[in-house]
Amino acid sequence: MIQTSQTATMSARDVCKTFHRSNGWFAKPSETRALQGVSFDVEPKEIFGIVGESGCGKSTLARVLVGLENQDSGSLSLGGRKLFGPGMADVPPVKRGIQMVFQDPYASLNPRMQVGEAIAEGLAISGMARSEREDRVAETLSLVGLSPDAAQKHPFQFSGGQRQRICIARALVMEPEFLVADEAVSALDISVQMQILNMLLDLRDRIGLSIIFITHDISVVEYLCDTVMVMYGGKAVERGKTADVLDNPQDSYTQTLISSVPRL
Amino acid sequence: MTLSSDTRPADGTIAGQNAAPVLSARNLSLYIREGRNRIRIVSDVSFEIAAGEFFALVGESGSGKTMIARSIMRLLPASMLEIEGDLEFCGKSLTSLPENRMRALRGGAISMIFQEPMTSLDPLMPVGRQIEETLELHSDLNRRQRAERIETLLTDVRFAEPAKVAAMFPHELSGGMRQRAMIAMALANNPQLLIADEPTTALDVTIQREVMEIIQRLRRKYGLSVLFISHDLSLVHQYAERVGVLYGGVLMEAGPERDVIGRSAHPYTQALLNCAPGRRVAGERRRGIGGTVPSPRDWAPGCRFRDRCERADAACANSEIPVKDLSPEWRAKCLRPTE
Repeated sequence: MIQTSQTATMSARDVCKTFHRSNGWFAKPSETRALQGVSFDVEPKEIFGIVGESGCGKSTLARVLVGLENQDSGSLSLGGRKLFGPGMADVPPVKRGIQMVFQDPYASLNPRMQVGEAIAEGLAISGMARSEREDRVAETLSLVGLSPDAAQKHPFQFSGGQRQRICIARALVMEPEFLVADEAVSALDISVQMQILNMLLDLRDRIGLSIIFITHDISVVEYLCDTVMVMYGGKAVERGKTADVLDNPQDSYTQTLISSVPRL
Repeated sequence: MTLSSDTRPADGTIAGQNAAPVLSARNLSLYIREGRNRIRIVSDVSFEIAAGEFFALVGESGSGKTMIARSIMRLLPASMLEIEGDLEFCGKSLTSLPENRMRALRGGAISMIFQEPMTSLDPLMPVGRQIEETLELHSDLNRRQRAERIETLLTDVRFAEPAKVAAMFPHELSGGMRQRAMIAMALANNPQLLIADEPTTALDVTIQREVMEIIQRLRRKYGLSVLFISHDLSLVHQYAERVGVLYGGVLMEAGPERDVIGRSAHPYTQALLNCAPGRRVAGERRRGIGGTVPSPRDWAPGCRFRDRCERADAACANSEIPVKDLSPEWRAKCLRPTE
């Protein structure tokens, strides 16, 4: 049975990231300060929401957390162990305990690869034997509500919601302590979106997964997340229990954001 | 009643004082070509939009909402999209209108805004010039009057410095500004009907609210009718006066917003509302809808929603599902809607 350690706290301290863009040979390059000292802690089994508008740095933060970008300064640690930085080169990416799910399930699966192969790729890289891999793939597929024979099919045979389940299975098969989901339900129809949200809630209860859920949709945060951090202009402007932040926002941007959301 | 676009003064007296609806669709069916076959993607949809009314079509992807919008504008050639049934604009049939007359309507009396404003703007032309183009085509204003009109339009969509924006290229504007520029362009010739196809889906919520407020204000100011296409029930709830709910190319429920969303009768509308995320108590799970939206190639006779419906039984597989009137203006296509 797939299990996670359920003990590791993720901490980010003062994470900064600046992008430089060349403006031609002689002009001064321009700077985008995507992250300006972001700090937070995510407890084990917590679903931590990060909300903000486009350009606020939430996706950059997600990419830094999984090591797709390197932060300029600040530190990231998981269960007391440092995630990236000097001396970390000997920890292979598959053992870092963090996996990611992206927004577009159509773009994030290789169309020529059988679903089973795609899910098992990380296991193969970490050196697991084929027969063991197959068992793990079947187990993970049933965990995300797909039948084990999905492993022999190709991505085009699945709907958007099913593909997102496959992407989540591919992340979970590595037994991560943390799942980083960047707008993972934004491309889905609302009827399917609810299925995936419920699945994430069940996964947290069943295998003790911690989730960092990045979204622009306040109502999704309200449904899914225990804690929320609101980002604006590369900074965390507010952080707290979801209900507290939504009922009683302190920051002026959070107030504008919450009052702009259409409600049923 | 004339179909030309220059009949209404810019100061905005309400269009269509007569009782005829601005747009009416009767038994509208749409087919797309696939090789030698044609696939029906919209079946028997009927609705009306009154003068000055905000009418929303809601549905998930594949429900046919965008195709209905495109069929009104006839944006796809007849060889690609076949239209059956009646589409009437201010009492005149659109389906039989020759292409040159249709052309005079587009951007004139009927105009449209799209989801992604960047792809609908010409990247090589300043915003003001693009608005001027539609004015040259549809009105007989001279150069100076056109410049004044552009300034009014850009002020209408809340640009503080209209002259500056008119000289800017689309890439210099943010997403919300581009959508506002698109609205200015769409309103250039005082249309009677604005078709808005998911105009705020690509925008942040704070910007979404700004754009929606602009549409709402201009609708009141100019007596504009709006056909609003969306998948977002909460947005529709906030702004629409009447709502039609589409599923699998079929209009499942239609009527005033307070009925359709406030006390929906059709099991699909109810299930869809139940899918909307929001606050929950610990341990609670919203039910959502099992399964997926069927593809037009798999449509069987009977109710399209029956495989995912909790109230479905054998009778729902019958080919004819009646439309039940729940009130004079509220109807649902279901064998057993909740009363």
